[in-house]
Amino acid sequence: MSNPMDQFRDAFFEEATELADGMEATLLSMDLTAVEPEDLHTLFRAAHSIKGNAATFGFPAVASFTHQLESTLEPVRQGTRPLTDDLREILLQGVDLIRSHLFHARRDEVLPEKDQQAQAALVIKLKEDGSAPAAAVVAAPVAPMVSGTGFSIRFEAPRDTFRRGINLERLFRDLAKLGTLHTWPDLSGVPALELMEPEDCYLAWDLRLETTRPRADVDDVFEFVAEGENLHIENLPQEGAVPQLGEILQAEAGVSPKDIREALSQQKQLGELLVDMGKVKPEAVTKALDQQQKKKNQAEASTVRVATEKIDRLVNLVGELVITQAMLTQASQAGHTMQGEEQMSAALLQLDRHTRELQERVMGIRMVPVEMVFSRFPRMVHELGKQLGKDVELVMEGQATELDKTFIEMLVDPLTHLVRNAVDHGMEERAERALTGKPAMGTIALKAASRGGHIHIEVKDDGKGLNRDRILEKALAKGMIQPGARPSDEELNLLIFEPGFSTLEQVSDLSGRGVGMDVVRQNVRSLGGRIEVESQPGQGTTIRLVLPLTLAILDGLTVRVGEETFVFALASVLESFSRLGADVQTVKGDREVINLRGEFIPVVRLQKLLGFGTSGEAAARPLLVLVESEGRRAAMAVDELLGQQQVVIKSLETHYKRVEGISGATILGDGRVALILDVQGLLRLEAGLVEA
Amino acid sequence: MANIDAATQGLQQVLCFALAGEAYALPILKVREIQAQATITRIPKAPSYMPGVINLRGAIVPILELRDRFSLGVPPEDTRPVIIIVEVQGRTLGIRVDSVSDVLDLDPTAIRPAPELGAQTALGREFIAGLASLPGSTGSDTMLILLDLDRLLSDKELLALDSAAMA
Repeated sequence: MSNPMDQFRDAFFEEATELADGMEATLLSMDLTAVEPEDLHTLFRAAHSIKGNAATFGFPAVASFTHQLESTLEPVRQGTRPLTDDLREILLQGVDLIRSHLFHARRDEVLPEKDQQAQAALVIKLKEDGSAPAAAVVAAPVAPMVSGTGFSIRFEAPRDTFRRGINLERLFRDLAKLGTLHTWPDLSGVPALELMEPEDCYLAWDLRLETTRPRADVDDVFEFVAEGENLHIENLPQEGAVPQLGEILQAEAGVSPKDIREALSQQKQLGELLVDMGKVKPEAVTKALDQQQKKKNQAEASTVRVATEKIDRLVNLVGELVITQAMLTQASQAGHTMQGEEQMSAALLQLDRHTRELQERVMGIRMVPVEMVFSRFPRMVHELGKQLGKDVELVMEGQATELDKTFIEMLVDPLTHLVRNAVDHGMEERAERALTGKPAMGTIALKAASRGGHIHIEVKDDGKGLNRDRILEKALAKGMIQPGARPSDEELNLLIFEPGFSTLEQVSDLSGRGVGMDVVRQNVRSLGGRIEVESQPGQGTTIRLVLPLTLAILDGLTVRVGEETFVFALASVLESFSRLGADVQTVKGDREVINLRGEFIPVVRLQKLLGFGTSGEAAARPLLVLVESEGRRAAMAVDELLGQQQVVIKSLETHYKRVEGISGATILGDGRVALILDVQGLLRLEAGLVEA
Repeated sequence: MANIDAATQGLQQVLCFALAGEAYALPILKVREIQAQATITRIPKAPSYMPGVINLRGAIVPILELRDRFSLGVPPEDTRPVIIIVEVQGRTLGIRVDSVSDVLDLDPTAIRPAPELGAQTALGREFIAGLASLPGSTGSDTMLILLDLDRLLSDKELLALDSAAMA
């Protein structure tokens, strides 16, 4: 039952956020010594659009604040007020506030106290050095539409509405013409299906009409439709998007404002109440609240904007599929003649091509340009450089590279971390750079590219590089590598992603380079990707995230174990070998380990581990697949390697539930379901860390 | 028995199926389709009455082995089980039964609450929405057992969804 207005609301928020992002990017890219007039116009236009749309959609707070930014920009655009570095900072803060406004307005929340104060302070700054015209800005009236005048209407459609031939849709349309209309349908009057009289109308609505028109206009709309009992029209209270419960009670139940205030002061959140009752621990409530917030965020992130061009291509493809289908029908009617066979094979070939393309294109809908993550970094690097007193320039490449939408969201944290690290720790201080003859301006390069079925994202700095000796020393001290081992540079560099590598004590020139790095690795792994590190002393460090194209498809190794077919994610498979040549030893009677180049690795019997019974397990399976996750390795005993192929991941949870050790399922060429093994989960099961 | 009260408004359509020689029925509105035998892929650590999943046109759908659930033993060799695909509480599930017979219009007033079955059967009273008697062709009446699908599926043991998902 979604409100049609909601659809536009979402579009408004998306567009306004984009505009705010655009303002930020423009501000950051401007050269203050030679300001391009076009940039100023862009800024002004963006502010103006946000203001206008916010007013139309009934977010007066957003509109009035943006109006002030716009008014500040006006003299700048006219050339009467210079765009100073300070003013730029103020405007950037203004953009942040717009974002915060949008964020909270979308949730029907008011701006938090903290931001309100920031806004108050900022408004003063906006007019401070803006001389005379700005003083008028604060008092400037906001567009008339957004003032809180209007009506709150309770409309219970009479039972005989339909029989009287009244068109409710028309009614709402007429109402919407009067101003901004919000509707909340109330279905509580609808009886169970078997009790329902199909010709009766059981619907009711709570409406909120923001308008400057008189009450009589509203009454006119409802004339002949409803009156008396079925219609309650109240004047709207000033401001506020949704009437507070108190206001309603006040209006409908005659509760005094004083009583409401008293009740509110005693009111507690559900969580607090439960804690008081001793039913739940405070931590559990905090956790639940976190979860709730996450769900909220997910729900909001669940729309994708798709270029019309992509959709057009899909429509064309479907058209071609229909033609191919017609070809096939014709060919099958032609029967077993020479010509028929020929037609058939041609049509099949075409079908094959079209389905493959269709698959790619449909996947493509989920793809969004990586710019969506990258766009936040110019600002961040700008601020960091300021904070740390370093001159840093951010160079970005390949922003148009497309990534699965889910990835974009999960990449924000790791990339933020890597970029911050690069500026903070990778980049030398000014003095040190001068000493080594490097340009004073350090460069951080952020690159994205698509290479051979994978997406590469690089964070590269021209700083001092990783200190090999220090890492080695540290790794030895922490027992991460064996004394006497000679790890390659690559292996050594990857150690900075080990959990706890530098969290214990801070090594001066490496400091922080490991803090949270394990989180980076974890996120990248959960996306099915891997990390590569290249570092040259004195030249800089490159950290490369190698990600699969999409989450929905997995590079898999299909294996047979007894009667079951399983799929391993290829990323977790190190190698496979025959049991015959391997040095298998029995421990404690029934457990097996193999001695692989000096390392003892447990052999896992999948059927036993997964609780499929041990029948047939007596026969040792002839092949071992060596897998690794979280630094733990195991050799999975299998009967046969069926092949390496891309599989489409299907969720088990949609209709069943999560199963420990299984990350999902896929459908094989013959229509059977095969389970995708979750190596990390299996290894935990094997280690007895999880109760199955 | 609120569901019976609610159903007293008109005729109720049910899908009849057989299980170990007894006649059962499900409300037709819950049934999405009927599938012939499909290959079942086993799921680790699943209870014996939930042996695995099938591919239902791209969706991974779990199968409930009703014989197992009600401890009715292994079907005779010559049965060719059928899967009834139902949709309950937003989830799709396949129920494997011996055979499907027909769709009947039941007069809800003819549905009686189930008597205490005691130790005679493992099928607990809680899964039975009621009993109806059908005039059999031979003159004697056949008893039809109406299953309460919602309760069958909300059975803790069966889905144990939340506790397992949390782990």
